[in-house]
Order: sequence, then structure tokens, then C-alpha cells
Amino acid sequence: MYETIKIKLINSGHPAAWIVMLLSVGLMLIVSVYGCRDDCAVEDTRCVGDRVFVCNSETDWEIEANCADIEDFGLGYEWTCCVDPEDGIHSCLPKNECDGGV
Amino acid sequence: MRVTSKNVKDFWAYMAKKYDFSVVDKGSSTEMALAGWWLEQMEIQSKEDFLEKYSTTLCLGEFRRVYIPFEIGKGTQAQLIQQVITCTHESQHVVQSDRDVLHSVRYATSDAYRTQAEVDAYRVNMELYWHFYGKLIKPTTLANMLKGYGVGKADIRVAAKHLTIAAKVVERGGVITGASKVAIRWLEKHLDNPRVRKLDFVGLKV
Repeated sequence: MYETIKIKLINSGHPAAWIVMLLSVGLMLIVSVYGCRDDCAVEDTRCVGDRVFVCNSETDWEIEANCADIEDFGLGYEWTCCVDPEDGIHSCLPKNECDGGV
Repeated sequence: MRVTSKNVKDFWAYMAKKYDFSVVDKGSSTEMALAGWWLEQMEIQSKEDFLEKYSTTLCLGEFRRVYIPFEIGKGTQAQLIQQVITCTHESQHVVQSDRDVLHSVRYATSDAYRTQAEVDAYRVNMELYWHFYGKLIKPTTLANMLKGYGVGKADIRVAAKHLTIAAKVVERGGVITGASKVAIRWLEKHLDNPRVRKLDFVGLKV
């Protein structure tokens, strides 16, 4: 609908067509710059698959650990990323401690 | 777990070969004297502290050196263990430089990068301290050591968070860091006494 109106306006040579064009470009720029930003509060934690991330600055998630790479030298835990029920911080924990909170 | 002078010398030789670095006496190094002077001018730390209390890794291309202010294999039992931990810590810095050719430059110029690099290497200290003593170094204690590295309060808070997360793994007997894994494998093979692990402590508590 919006595209149809825009095309009709451009074809008509109406000055409003240029305003619509500029608004479209502006909107696209805003979406492309901010739409993909993954803002966070510093010190936030989260899991992405088996990896733990910490928010280092407003847009920078830094990986802390890949749980799949942890070695426990024979303890035999299955390490996975989840919320520690004791303090709400995401971390690599043995699966049986995760209590379903990812 | 008892560590002998020979263990420590062998360990340093093994890690130096594994990570391809040479060991240099920090006090007799011109480049370290220059770096110490610069740090003092920037009011980050005194030249004396830098040369006598800190080990430093410098990797630029084929130039891969670890500068140390002590004699390997000489000291009390605690000092010998600390030398093993220091070696692994510095090896992790070498790993970082292998990941990023501009590591040393970024380390010198960016507070945030320096913080991340030290967090990665302090994790080694936490992992090996647990390995030797079965005790955890407090994450805030390690994070506060960054004050000597010229980083700000926000960076120290973030560092503490990273190390808090790591501590949850370490106190359960897990090892995250690459150099620590290599070190522990070597220690398990060459030291007589088995390491302390969480399961041993469960037994002790009961």
C-alpha cells in the first residue's frame, strides 16, 4: 500500500513524493543503524547456546566461557550455560545444578 | 602437593617450548627499563614496582619474550608454586597474542582491551590456585589488582563480573582457560601427589 502510494506520487511528479522518498531513506537508515543494536546494561549476563556472555559496555557482549570447552579432569560433569539459581547470574554449571533456568 | 625446584624449571622449559617464547631477566632488559620509565611518567605505576614485582610478556611477530623478576626454581614452596602460576599466566598472554597479532599494541593503548586480556590471564591464577590449594582467590581481589594497570573503575567492575562467573566453574573443579589445561595436564603427569579437586573436599566436609 505504502509502496503503491509512493510510486504513484513519484510518477505524478508531486513535490510530496520527494518528502516521502526522504522519509523512507531516513527510516531505513535509522533501522539499519539502531535496529540491529543489541543494547545491554553493563554487567548483564546471558547464555547463547553453551556460551556465557557479559555486557562490557552498552553494546558490547564479551564472551566469558564456552561451557562445552570446559575440562574437569575426570569429574565427569556435563557443563552447560544457565542461570545460577543462587544469585541469578548466568554461568557454566553442571547440568544437574541448572534447574531448568536458561 | 609438593613442588620441587626441578619441577618448576622443567615446567618453564616445557611451557616456553610449547608456546614458543624465551625467558628474559626483567631487571637487565633495556626495553623493560624503558617501559618502566614510561609507566612512571604516565603515573600508572613506579618503575621500581614494574621491574621488581611484575612479570611481562611482549610478543611482536617473531619477538616472543616473557620478562621475569625472579630466578626460576629458587624460593620457598609458596614461591615455587607462584612461579608455576606466573608461567601459566604469561603463557595465556602468549596465546592472546597468537589470536591477535596486534595484541601487545592494543594492550598498551586500550584500557578495555587490557582489562579483558588480564581477566583472561587472571582466570589462570584462579584455576591453578584452586589446583594447588583447593581454595578460591576472591574475584574482587583479582579484579582490584587491575588498579596497578591504569584501568578505570567501570573496567574493574566488569572484570570482577567475568571472574565471578569463572569462579563458579573453578570451585566446581572445571578449567576454562587453554594454558591452564595444558599446565594441569603437565602437572598431573610430572608431580607425585594428585591435585585437590572438589570431590576431595566433599569427602572432607562429611
